[in-house]
Order: sequence, then C-alpha cells, then structure tokens
Amino acid sequence: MAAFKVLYVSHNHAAVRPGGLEFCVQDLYEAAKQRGEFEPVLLARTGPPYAQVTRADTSSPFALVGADPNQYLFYNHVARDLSNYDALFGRSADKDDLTRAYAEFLMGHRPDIVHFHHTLFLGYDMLRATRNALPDAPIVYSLHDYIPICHRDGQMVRTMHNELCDEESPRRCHECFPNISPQTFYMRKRFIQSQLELVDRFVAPSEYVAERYVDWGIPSAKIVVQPHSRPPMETTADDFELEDDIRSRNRFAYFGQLSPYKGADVLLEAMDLLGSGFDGELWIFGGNLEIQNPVFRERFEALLGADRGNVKFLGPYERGAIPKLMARIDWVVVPSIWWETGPITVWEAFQNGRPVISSDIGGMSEKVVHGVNGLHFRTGDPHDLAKTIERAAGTPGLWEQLHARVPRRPAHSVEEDLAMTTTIYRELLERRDGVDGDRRLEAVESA
Amino acid sequence: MLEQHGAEAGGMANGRPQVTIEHAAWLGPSALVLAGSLQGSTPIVRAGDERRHPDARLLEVDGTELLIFTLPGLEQLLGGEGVLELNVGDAAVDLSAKDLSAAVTDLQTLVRRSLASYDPPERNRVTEFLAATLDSVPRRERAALSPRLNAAREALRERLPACVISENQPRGLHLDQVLAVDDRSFYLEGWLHDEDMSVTRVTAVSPEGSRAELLERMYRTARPDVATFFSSHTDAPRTKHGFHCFIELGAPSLAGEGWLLEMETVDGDAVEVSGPPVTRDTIAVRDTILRDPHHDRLPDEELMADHVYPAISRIQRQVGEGKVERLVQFGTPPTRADVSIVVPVYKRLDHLEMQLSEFVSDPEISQADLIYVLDSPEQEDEFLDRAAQLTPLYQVPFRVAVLERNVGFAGANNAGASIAEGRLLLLLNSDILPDRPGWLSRMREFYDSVPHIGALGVKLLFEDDSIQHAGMYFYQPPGSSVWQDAHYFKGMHRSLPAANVARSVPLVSGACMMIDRTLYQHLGGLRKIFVRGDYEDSDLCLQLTESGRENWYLSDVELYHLEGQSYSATPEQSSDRSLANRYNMWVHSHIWRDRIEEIMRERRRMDSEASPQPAD
Repeated sequence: MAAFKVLYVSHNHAAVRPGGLEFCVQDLYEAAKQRGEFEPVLLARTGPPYAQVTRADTSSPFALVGADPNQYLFYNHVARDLSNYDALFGRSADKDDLTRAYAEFLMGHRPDIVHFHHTLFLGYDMLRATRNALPDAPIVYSLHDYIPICHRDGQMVRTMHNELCDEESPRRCHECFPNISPQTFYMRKRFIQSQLELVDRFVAPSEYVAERYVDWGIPSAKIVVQPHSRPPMETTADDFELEDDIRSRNRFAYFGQLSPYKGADVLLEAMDLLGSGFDGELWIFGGNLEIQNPVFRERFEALLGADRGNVKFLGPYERGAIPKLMARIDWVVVPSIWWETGPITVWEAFQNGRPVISSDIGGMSEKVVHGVNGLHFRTGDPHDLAKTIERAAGTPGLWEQLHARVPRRPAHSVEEDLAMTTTIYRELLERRDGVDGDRRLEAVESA
Repeated sequence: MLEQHGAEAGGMANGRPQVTIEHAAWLGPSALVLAGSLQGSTPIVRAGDERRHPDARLLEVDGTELLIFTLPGLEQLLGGEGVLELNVGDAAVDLSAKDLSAAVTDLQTLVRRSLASYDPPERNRVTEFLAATLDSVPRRERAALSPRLNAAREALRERLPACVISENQPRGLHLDQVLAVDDRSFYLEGWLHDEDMSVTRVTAVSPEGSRAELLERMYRTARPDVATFFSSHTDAPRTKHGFHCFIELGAPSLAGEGWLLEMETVDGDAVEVSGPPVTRDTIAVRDTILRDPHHDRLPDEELMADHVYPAISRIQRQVGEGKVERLVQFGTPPTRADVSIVVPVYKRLDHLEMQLSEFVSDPEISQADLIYVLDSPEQEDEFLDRAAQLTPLYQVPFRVAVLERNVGFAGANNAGASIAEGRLLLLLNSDILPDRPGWLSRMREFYDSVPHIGALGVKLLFEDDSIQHAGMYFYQPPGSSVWQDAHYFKGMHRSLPAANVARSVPLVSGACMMIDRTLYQHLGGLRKIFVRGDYEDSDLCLQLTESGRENWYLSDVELYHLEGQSYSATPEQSSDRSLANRYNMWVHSHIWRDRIEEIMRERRRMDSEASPQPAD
C-alpha cells in the first residue's frame, strides 16, 4: 500500500489536447502509479481553448478521463465561458468552483501533497483554496514557463521588435502594454505573489528559469532545479539509419509548433539568405499554424509559399514517428526567440543522436553546448543562423564530431525524475510531521 | 375698454370702498389670481369655524390691482363649503363660489383683457409677479404651473426684432448654454459682439418671465471663433466676445425651453435672441461650468468668486449626505474592534480582491471593523456577489455598506464612519496595499501615544518604491494667489533619511488617515464642498489644526498607494479631474487662506531655526 497520496493539478490533459507539458505530467503520473511508492491522483482542467465543453452545466464539475479511478477532468467556471478568466491577473471572478467544488474534491481524496503543474485557466487563487481546505498539505508548484512574471504569454519577449526581456518591472511591462498602467502591473505581481507565497517548493526545469524567479522575488531556498525528464525511446534514429547512407550531413530539420515564439520564420529567412545555390535542405515538421494570430500566420504562410527548392514543409507529426523522421535528417534547428524553459525538442534530437543548432539563450543554451553537441547562433538573427547552417553543412567531419558527443540519454529518465520528486515529497512530509509540527519551511530552514 | 363682467361684492353699504373683481384665474389647484379694483385687500378663507390665511401678494399696475394667493387645496375648498373673505381695513366682504365663478377665466384671457394695454416695463413687472407664484404653490403643482406662466409671458411681452447675426452687423448676441444649477440659479454662456460699445442692457428672461440683468455682471472670455467671424469689421481681435454669467432669479424656473436674451443700445434699439433648451443633468452642468476656469492659466478671482463658486457650491449642496441603504456582513465579525477601516469603493470592484488577498496574511485586519462603502450603487448586485465569492476563499471578515446613491469620496467616508464601531477610524483608499503585516497596530499605538493628535498619515509608496506621500504642506505657485497642496519628498526613494522621521506636518493624505472617531464626527467628517474627492483631507486637517490639534506623519508604516487606479484613465475623465482640481484648489484656498499663510510662516520659522546658521 502506498505510503501517501499526491494530487497532480494541471491546466489540460494529454487525452484532451496533447502537448509537451501534458505528456510530461502524464508520464510522471503513469510512472508513479506503476512504482506504487505513493498514490497519484490527476486533476486536469478542461474546456476552451483546448476543448469544447460537452457536459451540461447542471452535471458534476468533475469527470473521469477513462477507466482509471484516479484521473479526473475539472470543468471550472472558465470551462463554460473563457471570458470568465482574467488572463492578466490569472484568476476568475467566481470562486465557488474553488471554494466548494474543488474543496470538496480535496476533502474527498485527502491528498498529503498537492503538486501543481500549471494554473493557467484555473487561477493562482487555487493555491489559496488548497491551503484553506488542507492546511497541513505541502504545496509543490512546477514552473514550466514565465506566465507569472510576464503577461506576454509568459515568453519574456518584449512586444516591440521581439526584444528579449530579462528584467520585469511595472514600468517595463507597461511599456510592452501601454494600455495597462504600471500600477496595474504592480497589482498583478502582488496578487500572483500573494498566492504563490503559499507554495512550499517550486520545481524549475533549468537553472536559468530558477534564476529568473529568484530575481522576481521567490526565495531561492524554495526552488529546486529539476530538468524535464524524457521517457526512453524504444527505437531511435539509429534503428532507421541505412548502412549505405553515406551522404553529406546537410539536411536540417525543424520540429515543433509553428508559433511566433518558436522562430521557424527566422529559419526560413536564413534559408532565403542562403539562396537556391545552397547545398543542403530544410525539412519543416510542425503544426498548429491555424491557431496563431493572423498577422504571424499570413507572414509565415508567405514565407513558406516562396519557391526555394530546398525547403520542404511536411506538416504535423506523431510523437512515435520522431525516430524515423530524425533518421532522415542530420541536424535539428531550435531557433526559438524566447527563452524556453526545458525545450523538449532538444532532448528528442539528442536521444536520436542529432546535434542541435540552437538560439544562444535560456534553456536552449543550457542544454546545447556550443562546439560540443551542437552550435549556437545569435537569437533571432537570420544572418548568423545562415552562417551557422553553412558552416554545419560545409565543414567535413563536424557533424560526426558533434554527433559523437551528443548525450544520448536525457539528464534523467521519468523514473529518475519520479525518484527525485519523491525525495522532495518525502522531505516536505517529514518537515510537516517534524517535532515542532511546523509545516512552514522558512521557519525550519532559518532554524 | 375692458369688458365689465366682474362680480361686484359688498355693494356700497356703510360707505365702504367698493371691491371690484374684473377677472379671476386659477394658476393651479392651490393658487388664484384676481384682477380688478381690490383696495389692497387681504384674503382669508373660511371653512366651518376655521379661518385660514393664504399666502398673498398684491401688485398694482397703473390702476389695476393683481392679487395672487395660494393655499394648498384652495380650489377644492372654495368649490365646497369654503368662503373667500376679502378684508379691506376693518371691513370684510365675502365671495361665494358662485360670485367667483362669474369672474373666472383662464390666465391668458385675464392678462390680455386686464393688462395687455400697459407699457412694456409694466407688463414685465406683471410677468415677474406671476412667475413668483412658483415659490408659493406646493411642489407637485409647479410643473403644471410653469407652462401657464410661459403662456402668460408670451401674451404680455413686447416682441422685439430677432437679432441678426452677420459679419456686417456692428452687434451680435448668442446664448450657447443655459445650465440649470438649481430651481432658480442658472449659469449662462454665450457671446456678445458690440463693435461700437453701444449696448446698454442685456437681459435674460426665463420661460416663466423672471428677468436677470447680465451686462454688468457677466465675465468676459476670449472667443477666437467669434472674433474671427467679425474680424473683417473690427480692429480689435483681442476683444473678449464670450461671456459666462451666474444668475439667481427672483422666482424658480422649471421649463425646459423658452429662454430669451434681450439686448438694448444707447439709442433705444432693442433685439432679442432665443436660447437653447436648458441643460438639467447635474453632472453635465457641473462639468461644463468647471471647464470654464480652464480658459486661463490660473483661476481668475472674479470668475471663480462671482460665477463658478456660487454655481458649483449650490450643486455640491444638492449632493447631500450618503445614506447607507443596505449593510451586509461577510464572514464572522470580530467581537470587539478597536479600529474601523472605511474603504470607499467607486467602480473599481476588483480592488476588493486585491486588498483581501493581502489582508489575509495579516491577522490584525481580521480583528478590525473593515467596512467597504459602495459609492456606485448601480453595482450593488455585482459587488455583493463578488464579496460572497471572496469570503470563503480569503476568510477576512468585512461589511459592505451600499449607499442609496453616488455621493462622492467625502460622502462615502462619512457614511462609512456613521456605521463604524471602532474607537479609531482609518480612512483607507481601495488602491492601497500594505508593504508588510503589523501596520495597523503600529498606527494605533502611535496615535494613542501622541497627545493632541489630530490626523495621522503614513508613508505611501508608488509601485517603483518611490515616495507618494510623506506628509503634505502648502505651496503657492509663482504668480498665483491660490495655495495648493504639495507632498514632501514625492518621487524620492522610500529609504530617504529625511522621510524616515515621524513628525508633525501641516496635513496628511486622506488616502490613509487615522483619526479618533468621535473627533471626526464632532467635526462633521469630510465636507462635501469639493468636487470628486480632492482637498477634503486638507480641509479636515485644517479644521483639526484650528481646533488645537496636530497632524502627524508616521514614517515606519509603509503602504503602496497605486494612485490613479481608482479612476479609469480615459483622457476625457482625467481632464475632467484636472478641472475639478482647479476648482477645489481655489475653494480650499478661498476658505483657508489666512490660516494657511499663518501655518506656512510658522513652518518657515521652524525650518530656519532648525537649519545650521551660515558661518561667518
């Protein structure tokens, strides 16, 4: 029998709309269930923009995902109407889905620990509701992006010219959003921090993310860095390499969402600079262009539509098809213009033995080591990217040299991730049950 | 020749003077006008044993007497058992309903038959005399009386040629705005072109016939558009064509349209112009008038004292006290609260959650009597619903007082104070967030430790950690006769040593002000003479100083004041605010000038004594 129970809370379920973060949570949940050291319960909010609500308003706010009695969907107020959600402050005006429905859920399951993977469309005040219902249960909060810090989709990229931002302040945020006053941004920060104050442990996927949050005001003692885990790949590109595939290593590929922050447009501009005389190809795998803002979509479609001869657009791909696709290409380009927290594409490339050409910032530059397992270029600069691609394609032996030093295993597997997380849980529970009975970590830590 | 069909009462018996009523007309169910030879008689209405004295006025115009008397329910009384008795000296004559009915006609016929042949000035006197009836009839009858009086004015008045506005004319007159301040006070705006300075009279005539002379009173302003229009025929482009004029009529005026202006020259030529419909919406009236002083860089004393101030202060008086219409408790109230925190809420309902999400981490707040006063009552349902949603989440007890109507910052604070239970009162804005817990008890301890303390203010910060408030003083800008509020150390960092000393100061901000509740109520709270929440705090601090108290600044309580968040900042609204500010500043200075000068002299003396003397 499991020693304790952990509730995972997330903003979306992988079964509703798949995404990198959703898979991470799902993998962790499945692994925990398998291992049996604690009993996991998963509560994922659903509704727009991820799914149309199909349940009548009068029915239960919770629904089971499938046959598993411990996986739930949560239809909060925002599920009925997305406009109920105040995206600036991260809250909704109606609280009774938190103070009644969610509180009842907590009282019914009585988790020992509540671990939040995201509060988007749920509201930061869900932390307060958790603390009210379970005064002694430690709260863990994973920092997957910068939404608490940055109103621009949590990207920390400024609205003017997509300049990178590494320092928020009410004044600077107001510069990005002139219609929102500095005082309002200050209130936003105060509100979010007043809720995050209730968190006992933050989990950041990279040092860089942790630093940003410490700068923003979270005590560094409360943050642990734990990179995202990756499940092992049963097959990798190695299994699909052809023995006789002796070719120049000049095929570059982009994998991922076609969102403005991911920089696929920078990559296409670089290809334009290289011109049709360039001896190499770019393959683009990606989707979700249809949900992007129209300005970006039109610009990107125009870029894609240009006749270059050496760019192929191959559309969305299945997670399981990655090894096979990676076998056909040589380099993976990760040109994001935002910081990224723990870019999954980098790990997928590494697992398949592909060196990565990445932007030289944030979570990407932390994993891709220039000249060791990949190459950096100046973020958002198509000229530098073109030069880097040219160098990668035109330097004999470079691919082999970098390929040999690619870490084929992620920093840790899901099992290791789970083990590390379990350690955090145990430590928190020990403190909760400590002699003085004080669950407040600051008190323990300063003692 | 007037047709004689009046009732002759009393006959010639005992050589009494004969009272002849040529015509009578009902002005409404409670007012009757008699015209004829009335010998200065006084009316009394007898009903059974009761003798009632109506409100009566008599006017004699060139041989014809007019008697207007009002008594609630007069028509009904005289139609029943009531008898009208006209007293002349010791003698009396009775008029029965039958006697009267023979003379009764409608008002227009009465004035045409009895009065239309007189000179225009006499007729104007009659019109004004009739118009004054609006003062004596019951309020509910005034609306029906007003059009009758307007019809009488039309029957009696001398019609003048319409003023022709043309660039070739040496004169022109236009009435742009008729702003109703109250029943009998109006604020007129327009322009007057008088190339050869020959105009001797400009008169405003209300629809009911009340008259007010404007020429000597009006405040002239530049109207570049008018100046340009007439520029080809005048060498004086700097002439101030515009005028503003506050007037108080002899009688109320209720009609929505029918205003006239008359203009007469030294040669006796006269013209008239019709005015636009009357603006009665109080807010529109107030904002239009407040916009006027803005034409000049600094408020003009004459404009303010003679026109703007009389108008705005009358409007402010109508705002009245804020009555708490509904009081709702959220959460479990503390058993005995020492401090009542009064937070007015106007429009920005989201501030409630902002404060509660901070107050939850300070147990002292839950021990206080926290009162949110909703001054935008149209948001009652939404606000109470929010409050109900937030209570289980934040678990900070508070009360919501919904006001009967919007009364502004001062009224809302006073209403909150009226239901406060604490010994001390803390006036707090809804856009204030504490920097750290424990501030309330610190303020209370400090307040209790200083003898003769009046108001206590604290350090208020902007969102960038610069000082918004560290006590205030008075300042007179160069070239201005008006004193303004000024903030010590505004915009400097919160750690500035000079701002980190508790000391007495001339005044403190009402955004966060602690005061003894009894003292506050004894002074009548914040006065509502200012527009849109400004200078009331200063006014209160000066009253405290006047009563021998000292106002103090406490530096080690720090709160963020996200000023400007209480108001949505559309450019129009912020410009209206600055207009109100200019008015408030003038009124404040007008009331307190001597006291302020004395305080600032004393401050300067103290400062010079405190600063080191220059070495020889």
